[in-house]
Parts: sequence; C-alpha cells; structure tokens
Amino acid sequence: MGKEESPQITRRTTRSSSSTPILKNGEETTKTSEPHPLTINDLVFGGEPIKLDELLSSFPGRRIQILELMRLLGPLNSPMLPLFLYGGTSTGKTSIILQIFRHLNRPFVYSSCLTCYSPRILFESIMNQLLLHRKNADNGYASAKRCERPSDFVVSLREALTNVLNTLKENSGKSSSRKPAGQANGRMIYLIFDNLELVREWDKSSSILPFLFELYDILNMPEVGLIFISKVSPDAYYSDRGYVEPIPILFPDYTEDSLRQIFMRNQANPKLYSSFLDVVLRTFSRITRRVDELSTAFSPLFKKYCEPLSDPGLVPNEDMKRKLFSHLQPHLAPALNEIFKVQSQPSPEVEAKQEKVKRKSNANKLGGREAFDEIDFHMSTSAKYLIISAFLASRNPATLDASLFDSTGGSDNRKRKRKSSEKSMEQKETAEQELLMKGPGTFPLERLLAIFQCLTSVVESSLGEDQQINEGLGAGNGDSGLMSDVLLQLSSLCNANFISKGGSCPLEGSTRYRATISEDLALKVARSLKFPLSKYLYRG
Amino acid sequence: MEGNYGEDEEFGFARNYFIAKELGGSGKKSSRKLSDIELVDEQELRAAARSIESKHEKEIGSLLNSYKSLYPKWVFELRCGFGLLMYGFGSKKALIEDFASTALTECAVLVINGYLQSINIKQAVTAIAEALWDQLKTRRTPSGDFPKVQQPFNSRSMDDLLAFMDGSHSEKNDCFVCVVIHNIDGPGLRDSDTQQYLARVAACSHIRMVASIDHVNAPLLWDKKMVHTQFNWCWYHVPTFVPYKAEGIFYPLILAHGGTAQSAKTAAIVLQSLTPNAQSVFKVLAEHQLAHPDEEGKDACQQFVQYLSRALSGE
Repeated sequence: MGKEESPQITRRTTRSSSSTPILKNGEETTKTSEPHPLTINDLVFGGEPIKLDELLSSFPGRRIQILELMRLLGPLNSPMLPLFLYGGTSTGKTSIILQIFRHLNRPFVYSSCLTCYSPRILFESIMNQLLLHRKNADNGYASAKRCERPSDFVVSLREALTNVLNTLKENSGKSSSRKPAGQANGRMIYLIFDNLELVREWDKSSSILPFLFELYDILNMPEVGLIFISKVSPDAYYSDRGYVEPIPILFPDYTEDSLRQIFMRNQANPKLYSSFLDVVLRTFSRITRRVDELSTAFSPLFKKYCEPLSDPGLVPNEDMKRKLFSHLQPHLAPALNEIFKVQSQPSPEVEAKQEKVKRKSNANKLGGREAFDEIDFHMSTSAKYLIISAFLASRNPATLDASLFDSTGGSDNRKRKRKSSEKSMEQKETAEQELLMKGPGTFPLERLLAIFQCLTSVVESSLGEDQQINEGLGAGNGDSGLMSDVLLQLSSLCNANFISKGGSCPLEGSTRYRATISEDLALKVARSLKFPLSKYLYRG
Repeated sequence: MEGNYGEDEEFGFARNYFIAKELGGSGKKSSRKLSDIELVDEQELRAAARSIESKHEKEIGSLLNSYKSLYPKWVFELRCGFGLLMYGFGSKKALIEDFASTALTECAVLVINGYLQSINIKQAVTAIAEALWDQLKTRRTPSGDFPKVQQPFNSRSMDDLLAFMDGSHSEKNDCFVCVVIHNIDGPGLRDSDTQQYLARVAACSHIRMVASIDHVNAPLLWDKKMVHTQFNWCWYHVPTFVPYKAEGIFYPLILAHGGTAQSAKTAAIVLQSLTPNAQSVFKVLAEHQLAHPDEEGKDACQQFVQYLSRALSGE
C-alpha cells in the first residue's frame, strides 16, 4: 500500500521465495509451462547478488549483528558451530540471515516450524529440498521420502547431505575463474530452522527439541552448518543433556534512530515524512518498537496527516508543519489506544534479554527504555487502590490503623508521646525484621474495606473544592453504589493471585485475606497513582 | 468530635471500624442472656408470628404495583441477552414469580429455590436442559435438522449439557429457557464451583437468568468476568418490605424455647456440621438404639463405647 510498507514487502517475498525456490524460478518463466527440474544451484537465494555495503545499508541499526554473523559464518568452507538468532517480533532475524546468504551466494535449506507444524512435515520438507524434489501432479504431491521418526530422518539426512556435498565438490572442482551467475559457492551447506519457539508446543516437543539441538553432534559433518532462529531466548529451552550449546546472537529491539531510518526508506517525499515522524515517532515508540505494529499504525495516520495538503510533493515549512500537526493531533490518542496490545512475550523475557545485552561486550546502546519503573500491565484505578489497601493491611499491624488513617487523629489524642530510647530503637528494629520475616499478615474483609475507604476519600479530598462539592452530594449514594464493584474487584484480584483468600466461603465465616504482592510491585502501583505509599508503611 | 461534618459522613464506616477495634474489649457489654427472658414453645411462637398485623399494607401494595410497570422493560432486557439481578430489602420471591407468570409466557421458566439448605446443581442443570429440549421440540422448524434420538439427559456429563444448551440449534429459533433463581447467594449455592457452573449456564445462548440476592457481600461470590461477560447482570433495586416467610423456614427461631421438636431441628443442624465419619458413628449408634428400644440410653452408650474401643485397639 504505502511507501513505508515496501521494506516489509521485500521481507515477505524473500521468506516465501526462499522457502520454495522452485516457485521463484517458475514465475520467471511462464506460469503455464512446467518449471525445470531442480538443480543444486537452486539451493541458493537466487536473484541479483548484493554487496556488503548494500546489505548493511538495507538494515539500519543492525550493523553489529550482520558483521557478527558474517564473522561467525566465516570464509568459504569454514566449519562453524550452530548459531542461535533470537529477538522480538519483526526485528529482522529471518530477513537478515537470508540476505546474508544472498550476499555470500552459499547454498542453504530453509524450513520454518510455523508452516511445518509437525515433526514429520518438518523432516520431509528438509528432505524434499535436499533431494531437489518438487511436489507436482505427477508424483501426486507426495514427498520424496517418508520420514516420521528422528532416527529415520538422521539416516536419510546423512545420505542426502553426502550427495549434495559431493555435487558441490564436483562443481567447485571444475571451477573456471569466472563462475556463471547463480552457481553456488563453496562446499558447505547450511540448514536454517525458523520459528523454533513453536516447537515447544508440539506434542513431541520433549524429544524433538533436544534432537534438533543435538543434530550437530549426531551428524558430525563439518560441512554442515546449523542456524536456529527463535523469538524466545535460548534460556527458555530447557536443556539437561549435554549438547553443544549454539552461539546466541541477540537482535534487540530497534532504537528510535534506527526506526526512523527504517521508516524513511523508499519514501516519495522524505521531508514531509520526516516531519510526520517528528510528531509521531517518539510517542509511539514508547509503547512499542515493533516495526509491524508501528507501520500499521503509521499508514492511516500519514494519510490523515497529508489530508490538508493539496500537493503531496510539497516540502513543508514551519507554518505548514504546525498546521499539519494540529490537524493530526486529535487522531493521535485513539491511535495510541489501539496500538497498545499486551505483549505476547512475558516481561521477564525482556529483562533477561536486557541482561544478556549488558553481559555481552559489544552491547548495543538501547534507546532509553523506562520499562523497569512502570508496571507492565493495565489496571483500573479502583483495582490499584484496592491492591495498595491490601498491601498496607497485610504489612501494618492492625493496631496502627487508627493513627495512620484517621484524619482527626483518633488515638493520638489519648496516648502521650514518649521519647524513644536506644533500647527501644533496637527493639523496634528487631521487631521490624521479625515482621518482614514472618511474611504478609492476614486481615478480615472489613478492615480492607475500611482502609480502602480512607484512601479513596483522601484522594477525593485532594481533588479540589468544586469537584468535592459535586461529588459530595452523590458521595453517600456513590459509595454504596460502588461497593459491589469493589467486592467484584476483590474477587478478580483473588483470582489473579494478587490477594490470597483463606479457606471458607466468603459469605459464611469470617474469611481472612492476605496480600501476596511484593513491595516493589506495590511501590510501582503507588507511583503510578502518585500515592505516597511510604508514608503509610509501618517501619517499626 | 472535631472536623467537618461532611468528612464525618464519608469516614463513617472506616472510623467506626477502627475505633471499635481499638476499644476492643474495653467496651461495655451487656451481661443479660437470652435465657433470662421467658421463652415460649415454638408452636406458640409461630402461631403468634402468623397473627402479627402487617403494617403499611396499602403503601407496600402500591409499591409492588409500581414495579409492574417495569415488567416490559425487564422482558426487553432479557431478550437482549442480559440477566436480571434483583436486590433490596424484603422477600423478592413473590415479585419475581409474579413477573415470570405474567410477562414470561412464551418461554419456558424453571425456578430454583436457592434458599434451600442444599441444592444438587447437576440435577438443576439437567432439568434446565430437559426444559430446553421440550421447548425446541415444540418449535422445531420443518427442515427438521434435529437429532431424533438423544441420550437421556441425566446420564450426560456437565460439559455435554452445557454444550447442548449453548449450541446454536438454529438461528431462527428464538426460544430460550428462563431460569429463575431465588437467592442465588443462598447457603446451597455459595460454593464457588456451583457459582462457576451457574455462570456458564447463564452464558449459554439459549438461557436467560433472573435472580435475587440478599446477602450484603454477595458480589464476593463473583468476579468481573462472571458478572460482565457471563451473567451479564442488570442490577435492579426492588425493595418490597415483604417478610421472608419462605426463605426463613430453615433457620431456627431465636426466641423459641427449646422443646423436643426444636431440639430435633437443632440436632439435625449440628449433625450436618460433623464430618462424614462422625455422622456414620452416630448413625450406627442410632440404629443400635432403634433396634434395642427397651434398653436405657446410657447403657447403650456405654456398650457402644466399649465396642468401639475394642474395635480400635484390638484390630
């Protein structure tokens, strides 16, 4: 559609055309005539070879990964350890490795665990490619060899690989000084397994995953290189057998600058688009850095942005820019809401990735992720207050409630204030330690509701006179109307394991609840509400 | 006390709670006991309660009549797929049954009395499925894409029944079964498993639910998903000020003197709270006593205890 989708389009065609090289050749001739039988040279990427500079410039922000990969793949005919490419969605793992092979012009076999959704299909797809077999009407769309178990697969694979490698050796043996274009380089062949994380959900994943990782040891053929691509870091693949660990290469999320470069590619009107990006890129990249999500969000917004312009080729000046921005602004907030999806990867993964990056010596500089200070999920305000109330109820002893929450200072008027001596300070410290060691305490429902009511009334009173007057009239009704909502919220929080519930049915006995969240999370939630949690915490 | 009167109002519940906890045991408690009053026999008490004049009959009657004007709106909401949840002071049993008998005439209505002490949810769901089956049979489209032979409902599993009720038998069929549950927060339905089943039943495409609650903390039984997605409640505040005659039958009267009839009921309540093992022990003891009616109770007890001790130590 739009210009900014052209980088996407090239990536898509590369994937499909590389996994079925037959089709590509078939399309170049006429569609109706039968495609020619496959040769060894069809195992390369095909098409125009590209130089290293082109490769580097077509993937902004990935210079380090590309050079690292080139280094690990090594010069022609150098054996290598298995590689493990991992990173988030649309970070360029598949397209980069395929373009690298296009540049190097070396033969490879690509199979994706997304399209090959069972071990048998995976094995047969690899065998078909190696045996240069094409499924057509003549052979009834059957695979070359029926391969169901890993043991069968290894046997057939070894045979096929030996054949392929012999062919390659012959080709390189009778080499003239100038190779015809499209002929494969070298005597090695590479197997690429994409979307490896999907294998974890297969039925036989407990045997297939170790098998794939052990393939390097099983085959013991230095002319074969293995490359794994996965969205999930290698830590998640539970390994208890001693196989050779593949070399991990991380593809971190793009920085803002790289994103800008990516989106600026192939734009008809670069200056106009650049001013558009000035407006949207920063806010949107705070939410997501995935190129696919951003491009689907940007294309309608760019259309909206260009609406007031009569001439799309115009270069905007400052005035124009301001006008365009004000035209676009009301559409930004709804677009932001739509783009916000809960990430499919859990957040500990992001943190694990970040730690890995810090560990590596050639770490990329990540463009300011403030993810650690904010909570990663979305909660309503009443749920947040309820969690804070539960945390305080579990943390503070019940005797402290009146003095903490009662604004008219219930008990303070009655007790005298005593000076604390050293001994009592020590006692307080040990008491605090004991309290923390014992873990969160239990509290009955009424106490939770009382604390919740105090906290929310504090908030209401701080909102200002006018609002309070308006709300004060409805406060009596409003409170009772909200009560069922609060109780429902409490049940939902119990189901989500933020609060744990003691045994009996809550309607019958006096059930006791316990808040099972960490202090970190409570602080994060309080910070998002701008609530001074530390003032209310009991410190002994 | 010092402070704004407005703030007092808002803080009312919370402050009272904290202060009550603070004062704790130091508050003055009355030292009078229930047995100081002259209690009467239960029969007398029930007779007296029946002869109490109900006050404000005219006003209550006009209030109930005013609810009749809401019936069309309720029917409309049921058709739209919502459930109706009635809450408010007074028994809503008569109100809901009046609504069901006058306004819900084209669909089958099944009534579950939630205030009973124990309810077999599987039986209830089976009855709902059977009612739906009858409904579908009478309204069958001529194309008859309908399985003739069906497994009997009471031998099917819960998941099967739910799948049957949720299945889109045909889009043209507008029939549904309306399930009326009095006191969905009643003692027989408070179990979380039961509530989950009820939620799944309510989420079925052919079932609509009308229910009433009386417990203050009834929403604790549900969570947000159940309320907004599965049950899809429309909350209606319908105070009726009608006494809880039907719902209160199973609760012992506090003011009644312990007579023999009373002690049987209390004994039954006590026995229900025991473990199954203890219950079986008492059952054996009772059978032994029934079998030997001429022996004194004490002797029988002693004999039984001896027998038990022998059994436990010997074998």
